[in-house]
Amino acid sequence: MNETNDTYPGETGLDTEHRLHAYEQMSRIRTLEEAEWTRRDPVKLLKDWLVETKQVETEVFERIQQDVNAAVDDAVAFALRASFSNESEVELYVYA
Amino acid sequence: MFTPENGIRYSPAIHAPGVRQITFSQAIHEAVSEEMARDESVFAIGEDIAVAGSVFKVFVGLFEKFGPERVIDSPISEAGIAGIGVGAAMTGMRPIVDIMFCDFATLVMDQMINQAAKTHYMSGGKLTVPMVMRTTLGAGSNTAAQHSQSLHALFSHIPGLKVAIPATPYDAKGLMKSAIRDDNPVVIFEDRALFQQSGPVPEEEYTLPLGQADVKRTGDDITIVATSSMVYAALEAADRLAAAGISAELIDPRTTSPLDTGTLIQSARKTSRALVVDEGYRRYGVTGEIASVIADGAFYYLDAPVKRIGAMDVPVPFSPAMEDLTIPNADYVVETAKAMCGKA
Repeated sequence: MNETNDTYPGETGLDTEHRLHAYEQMSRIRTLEEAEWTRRDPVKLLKDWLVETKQVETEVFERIQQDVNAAVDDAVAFALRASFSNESEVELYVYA
Repeated sequence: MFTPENGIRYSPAIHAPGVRQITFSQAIHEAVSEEMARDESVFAIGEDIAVAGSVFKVFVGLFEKFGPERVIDSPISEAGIAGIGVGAAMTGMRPIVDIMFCDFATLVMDQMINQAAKTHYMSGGKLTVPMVMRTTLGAGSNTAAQHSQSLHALFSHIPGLKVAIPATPYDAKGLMKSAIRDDNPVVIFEDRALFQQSGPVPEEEYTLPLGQADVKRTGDDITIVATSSMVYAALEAADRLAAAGISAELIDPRTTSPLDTGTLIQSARKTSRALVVDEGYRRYGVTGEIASVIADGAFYYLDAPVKRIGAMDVPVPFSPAMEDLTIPNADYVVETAKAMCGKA
């Protein structure tokens, strides 16, 4: 473990569980220099700027993250539940 | 290299007396301008397309008319522009992604082949990618191996993409308008050597279906299938063949995907011979697919094996003398057609 682990530089606070997962892997495969670059993550910078300039409330980001998580969870559940596509559908949806 | 067309059999609508003549370049400009005015979700992005109006000047005036949010100058990053196009298309826009030369389309292959072409299928029809990628092809201007290729075969190979290669101003406008309205990713290849070519284009609005070939000239002895600027080489050849007593029918597929197989087969059955001419490399080129379709569909009617002419299988050379040697022209078409008709 190195010293950058205490304050994960790319931490957005949007999804602690997933971020921690990435953080654990990062300590093994990412160099300090790369970690330094994540401080300038444009997604994080934009979010911070929007909050600091009071254009968007923090709760909005939390709600977006919850919506995204819910959508992904629903999609995963749907996929696990669904049967495989039928042979007759092989040429369906190649073109709209 | 290209003679003005005088033998082209345009559809009746544009035979009407008094139909104005505009250039291929103006035709594309009109198509894009009309569609942008018609539908606010249409926007264009590419290198030097806004203030400069594109390096070939096709877009001059669009930036002033529609503003910087709809005619966007991009950084020199083809993969980035194409990615923006795919994402925008998936989320409700109708982007026109401008890639200056198709030689640089090699840089957008992941976005076009793995993303644009697959998204509708992989989302089970939930998402569409209604985008247009317009780019240029063709040799003949001594711009060397990395600015002279005709790579439409690469895109024609991919299920999920549509590919248009117009030869006339009329076709260029009608196909561009249809491409913009189409819910699939459509790649349009324009030959730079055709931009100043004039032809009749009616003032009235029209579109042309993607997947419908055009009979550019009727004949009885041999079918010549030609694409893009090769249509003009084939027209010149047809004139010379007529002088030698050979009546050639000229078919322009206009789109390689979808391919109008019916018209190709029907013509070959009628004339009993077929010669396919395209500016892409001959090896694994679109000529191979077209020849195969004809051989399959007209086999019992053919008096000669289907022949094809493409660019020589070498990088397009810079030396003018060498470059001319590698690209199909009317001479090659005449020689091959005469041999096929037993009049060599």
